[in-house]
Amino acid sequence: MKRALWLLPLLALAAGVAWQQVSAPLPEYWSDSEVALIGSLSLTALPPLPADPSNAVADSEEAARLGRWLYFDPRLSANGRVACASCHQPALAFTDGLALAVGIDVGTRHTPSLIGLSYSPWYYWDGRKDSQWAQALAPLEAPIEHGSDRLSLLRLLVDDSHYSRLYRATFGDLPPLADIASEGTAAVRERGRTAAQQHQIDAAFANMGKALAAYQRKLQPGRSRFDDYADGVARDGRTGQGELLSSDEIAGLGLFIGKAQCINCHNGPLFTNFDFHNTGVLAVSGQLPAIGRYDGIRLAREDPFNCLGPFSDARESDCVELRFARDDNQLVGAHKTPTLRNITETAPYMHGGQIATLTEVVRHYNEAPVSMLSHNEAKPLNLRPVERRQLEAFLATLSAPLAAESEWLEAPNYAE
Amino acid sequence: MYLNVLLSALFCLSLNSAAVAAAGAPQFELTGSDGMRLSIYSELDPLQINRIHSWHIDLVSAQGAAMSGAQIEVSGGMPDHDHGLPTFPRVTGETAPGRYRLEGMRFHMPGRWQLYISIDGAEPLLLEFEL
Repeated sequence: MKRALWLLPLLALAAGVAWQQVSAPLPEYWSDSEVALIGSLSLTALPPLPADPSNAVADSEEAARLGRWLYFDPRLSANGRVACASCHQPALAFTDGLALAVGIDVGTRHTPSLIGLSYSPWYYWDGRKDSQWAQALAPLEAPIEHGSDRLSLLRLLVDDSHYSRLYRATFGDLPPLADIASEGTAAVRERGRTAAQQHQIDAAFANMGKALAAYQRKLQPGRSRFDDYADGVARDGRTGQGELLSSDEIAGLGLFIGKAQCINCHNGPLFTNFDFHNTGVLAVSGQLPAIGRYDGIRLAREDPFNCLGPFSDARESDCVELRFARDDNQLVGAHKTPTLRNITETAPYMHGGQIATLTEVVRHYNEAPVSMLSHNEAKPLNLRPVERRQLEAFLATLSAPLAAESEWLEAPNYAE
Repeated sequence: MYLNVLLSALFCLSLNSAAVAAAGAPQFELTGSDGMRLSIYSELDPLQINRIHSWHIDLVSAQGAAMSGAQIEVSGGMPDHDHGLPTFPRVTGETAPGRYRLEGMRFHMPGRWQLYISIDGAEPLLLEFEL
């Protein structure tokens, strides 16, 4: 008996290691509430794409075709080398693989995926834009992104006969460029313009955004292994659904909707509530901590291209998100929840690409560090190493080819 | 998403029970300490997350009269997650005597929500429910 005592510390150590590394057995059935939560995440539960009343051509095929040409065209930049597709690359789930976007210069934010984004009421990590078309305009003029200007873009539409044709088919006549674009520097030309001429330029610019948005509305997620699994669960409640998901992936799903609390924000079939949360992510290296949504809602309200502005096609009563948006201190340091669809293809992660891998993302949420600004809404999770691995395994089940037809995922032939 | 309705009292106010709305029935009913009754109807029925929508609130006095001209303030949030509503909803009009339109309602997480509804600056009534 005495001789066996020396084994006790070893046994305790072995039990400790096992606790960290060995998975708990799966139950045979999910509970009713778990079945409901799993079903709520399936693409089967995705409602039709909501209308965008601020964009009269949001669902026009002509507009989407024009938008596709614009989207892939590097002529929409000051140096002729930056297109929307330079950062939002179809092959990388419409991201770029970089921590910070690179247009004409290095940007300050990580390129977000565009998959399913047209369901969002807000755009940019801080929600500074309230429609997809208003969002599409800002990078065209941003000096570190496309660095172009409204008149140069309008000139492209007028001078390129293909663009002129597509534009007229969608929006009617282009503004008479000869009247607007007198000689001289940009500043002189701007001073010489009447308000009516400026409005014409701005309206054509807004229409480019509306066509780009019509195109991006085509970029919807495709069914993944998870969706087939979830629909099986909805039918019979069983945790095992043939070979659709491995036991680790199923355990990870259980953590996702339970102990790990991911579903709090990454909810619904797009795995995002498109809302704003402070999750204690470190500031981007070399930058002050970002104020996030607190600034974003103020920028959205000031934006002349917002839902209530002169270029919107909406009635005031349509602009409920903008009119009733929260704008107080609770939003300091809050950034938009991104989709987790195709998440394995969109590394690095967070608004500044601060976290390189999903393993580290899971570790971040497990620790829930104190926020540099305001407070971290997330709390430490106490996930065991095996659980962190399982959670990450589950996230990989959300990748699939897009539902969009292939023509929307490829650049058009500009030489035609 | 199924709605489990839980109502509880705040500041000694007694509250009626409520049920998931049948057609035409209010989603929630509240009663103030003075007998004033609120019947709350959501345009989104059943309630679900991530969709902005309107409610209307019928306000009736203890004597059964429609209460016109009331000032109604709504706030709330999720006590388990230490945050408020994702929007600032507000009453935008009285569409019929004692019937108020509350715009900008949105819930962005599953779980326990609490709303505080204050009438004419009085201590707020608490409405608590699960989404």
